[in-house]
Amino acid sequence: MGRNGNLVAAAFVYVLLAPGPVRAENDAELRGLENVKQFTLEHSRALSAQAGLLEQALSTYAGTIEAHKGDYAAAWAASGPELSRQVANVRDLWLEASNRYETIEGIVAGIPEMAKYDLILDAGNPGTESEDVAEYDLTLPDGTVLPRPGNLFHGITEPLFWGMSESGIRLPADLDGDGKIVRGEMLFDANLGLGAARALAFWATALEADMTSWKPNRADAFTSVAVMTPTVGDYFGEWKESQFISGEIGAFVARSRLVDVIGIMSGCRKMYAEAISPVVAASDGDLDSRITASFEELLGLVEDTYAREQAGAEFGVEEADALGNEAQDIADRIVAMVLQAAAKNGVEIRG
Amino acid sequence: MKYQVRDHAPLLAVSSVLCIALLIGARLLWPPPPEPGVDLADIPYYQLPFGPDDAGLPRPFWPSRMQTENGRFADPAKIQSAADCAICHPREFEEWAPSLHAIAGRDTVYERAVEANEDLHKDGIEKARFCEGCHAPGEVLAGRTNRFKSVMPSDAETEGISCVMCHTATHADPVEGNGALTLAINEGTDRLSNPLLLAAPRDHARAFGAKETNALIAKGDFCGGCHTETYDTSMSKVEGRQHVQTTHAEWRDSWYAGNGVTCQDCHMAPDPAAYVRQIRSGDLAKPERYAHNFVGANYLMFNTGLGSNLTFLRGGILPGLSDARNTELIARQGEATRALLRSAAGLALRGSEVAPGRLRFGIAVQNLGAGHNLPTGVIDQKYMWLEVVVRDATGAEIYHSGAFDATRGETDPDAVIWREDFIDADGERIPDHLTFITAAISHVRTGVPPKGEDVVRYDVAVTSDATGPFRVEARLWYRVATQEFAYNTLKTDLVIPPFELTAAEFALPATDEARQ
Amino acid sequence: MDYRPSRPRIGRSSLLSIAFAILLGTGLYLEFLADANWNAGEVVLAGHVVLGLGFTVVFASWIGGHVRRGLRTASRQAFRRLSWFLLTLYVLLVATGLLMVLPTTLYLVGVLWFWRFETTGVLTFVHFWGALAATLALFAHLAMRHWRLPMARRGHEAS
Repeated sequence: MGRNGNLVAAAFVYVLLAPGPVRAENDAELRGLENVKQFTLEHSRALSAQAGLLEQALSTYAGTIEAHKGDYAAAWAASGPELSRQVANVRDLWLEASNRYETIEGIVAGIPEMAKYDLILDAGNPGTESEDVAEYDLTLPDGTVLPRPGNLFHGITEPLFWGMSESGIRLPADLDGDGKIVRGEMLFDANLGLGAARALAFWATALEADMTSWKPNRADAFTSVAVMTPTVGDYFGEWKESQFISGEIGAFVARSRLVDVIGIMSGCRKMYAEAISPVVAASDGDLDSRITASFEELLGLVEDTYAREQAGAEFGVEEADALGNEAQDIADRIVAMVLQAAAKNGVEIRG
Repeated sequence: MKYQVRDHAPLLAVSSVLCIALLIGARLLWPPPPEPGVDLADIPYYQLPFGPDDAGLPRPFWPSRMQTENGRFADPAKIQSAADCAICHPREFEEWAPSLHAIAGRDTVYERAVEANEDLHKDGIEKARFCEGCHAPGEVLAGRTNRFKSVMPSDAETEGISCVMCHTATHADPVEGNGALTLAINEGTDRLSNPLLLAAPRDHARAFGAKETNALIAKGDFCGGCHTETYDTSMSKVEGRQHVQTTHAEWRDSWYAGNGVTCQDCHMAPDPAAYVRQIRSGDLAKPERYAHNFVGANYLMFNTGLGSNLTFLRGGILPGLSDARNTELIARQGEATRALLRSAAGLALRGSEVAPGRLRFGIAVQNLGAGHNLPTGVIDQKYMWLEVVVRDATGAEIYHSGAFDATRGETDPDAVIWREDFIDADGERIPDHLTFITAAISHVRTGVPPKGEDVVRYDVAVTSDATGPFRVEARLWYRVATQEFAYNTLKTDLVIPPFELTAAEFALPATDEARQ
Repeated sequence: MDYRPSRPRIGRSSLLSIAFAILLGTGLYLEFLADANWNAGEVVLAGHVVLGLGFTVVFASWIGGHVRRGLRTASRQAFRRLSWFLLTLYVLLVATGLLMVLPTTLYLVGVLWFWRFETTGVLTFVHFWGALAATLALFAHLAMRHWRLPMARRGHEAS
């Protein structure tokens, strides 16, 4: 064999031996991986849609303020109840959007080519930090450009919409009309709010576009199930907490709906069954059986609880606590087993 | 030779040989268990972002300083849960269950604080080993404080500072702190089944009541393993090391340590407030027994008036208890907590003076009953302030400092306040316990040392129409969390109520003569 | 004096000797060697308890007759004292053993109760040292002459 032949042979050997994403073994796994993509894409589209609604709501709010030439006090005096409704609507839409993103957050963060979106939307630092900086600049409606301002969800919009940061408050206002102005009752900076909401919608759409061309591999499938299943436990935990919290204290966290939990859980189970189970079963049939059974158990628990809730059942503190703990326990066990299966099959898990 | 000897000696000899053979056979048929615990290599995807130690060895639990005795991870299936211990030790379980130790790893306040910090850094979950090492050592030692949780869950892991976390301790370093405890948690398991354990409890004592363990956990130094906290670059932005919690050192340098009064004496006395009064009266006899209530200062977590909202704050119901029993135990411990708080502090007048248009006086805030500073612990959140109202002869208020806005949950920003401040890299105060971005620690006013006092001087303007004699109403308030934390991190509208530690009224005569 | 049974057989006294030897061996194992391997130790402990209960039953059925015979035949004062001492030790052994398995017995019938740890220490101490003392006393009991010499021989020995 000549020199070229040696090079070809060497390249061939390299391709065989070099580490990298594990190829799908068969058609079933390929179908399963496509299903992983579709499931994630479905939630990404939902995020884009929700971000769009949030942008509209901020546009309405900003319009009300602009109608009074940016005088928040005058706007409040003229349109207090309307502004209260708008702020409440913005907060509800934000909670929905944040929830949508949290469902796929682990997957987005775990795919190298998508990870930048996680920094921009949820986890990135402002430019004053030395690492994990969200690489974007925020242009506001009035033309101001904020260089590397930090992540959109928790760094900018959440503190802004809930008045956690003094700098974003434009006017303390009695939003609920009870005669008292407590923490969080305020009108926030419309310029910053609208600019951030537009950016949120922009980047959510960009994420959706990139996700459309994403080709998931075996590692992505394992990562997806491993990072999404805990969210089921988390959401059930939020449902559990919502059974404890009575109106006196109020809580402005997302109130997870069991129907959404069922949706995510079904998706996780389908992803496992189609994309991962064949791989796991090939090396450890018992482990595959246990994982499959646990998925059924968790889904059954969530569906049963949802059915009872729909039928009007009220859950006492003890029962809600037990249900929530059980769901989290099963979800944790599934994750542990899936990760053990991934390790057995030499799969790289990224996050 | 007697026939009895001739007949029985062979029997005894043969039986002895047979016995030895049986014992050897037993050893062969039932070999010893493998070394307990789990190797690092057997925990898939366990992240080690902090690198090895100076000797090049991995630091699996860092930034927590907690260790296992044999260096291996704990096997979650083998860690004894408190609910298991409760089968034979119901009294101790029911004493411990309402305590903050029981919910240290699961209460919502803590969980939300950890999540908020975890979100600040890509290795945030691994940095949270710093927090979990003290709050939920079972999670850290089993390898579950990791972004990929490849270790199975168990009840024991969720129980916070449970029985085995103290009753397998073999070493503590109260100077290093940050969870600097060594736990023989892998060896600390019963090796006999329950019926045989009852016949031979020595194995149980080996696991959970070794002499060295019993001696260690009776000392204040043991508490210092966790109740000493310093921040460093592995989990914050401080340069070098900065002291954050110094409760152990405060006690160690106090009259109490010098006279053999330990943390356990007060906080594990069956009636801690009564014990504090006993100490104050000069009687240093030890408590008649040590109860596992660990009565402390967090009155909020025992406020049963919050109803199911308290269940939310506490993170649900502890395994092994019903809601009704849980509430009953919490209510009882709440009384003890409030009584203990009220036994800690006093107020005294330290001089007064009337000058033209001015009234000057000093209020001494006294630490009468606590073996550590007032306040102590997580004092960026747990703070104390003095409220002073001055009234003239008609009862009109001429001065008010330290008012609490119960609507917004805010303390008078000009109040005299004992609090530690976390400062970020921009020099701004962090009010909601984001430790991972804390760059510096400062103190508004350092805590009042044991048996010490801090005199606060007031110089009040008196208008011409206000006449004496004047009355000073002083109240010392304590609060377990800032409103910013409740709102930003806990995401609730709950106004964290303050607790009145002590109150006093002082009469200041109108003229200058008698006022020392 | 030789009043051994007329035909060789495994009598209760033989069973008791066999059991005592095994109990002593397993007891010493539990005291000194079980810590290194409680997997085997648990089996040994279970065996020790079961055999001990069996020993108790056989001993209880046999000792009455043996004492009555001994009172008739044993005339040597020192032997009689030793015998009573041995009997006391056996009673202590059986009693402490039964007390130590009392919590186990109650547990098996659904009642949870146990001694204070300090009490189990005392019981173990008495049981262990009682066993060692009983071993020595047993050998002496078996070997020691239990009859008084006839007057003539006593006189011959004295002179």
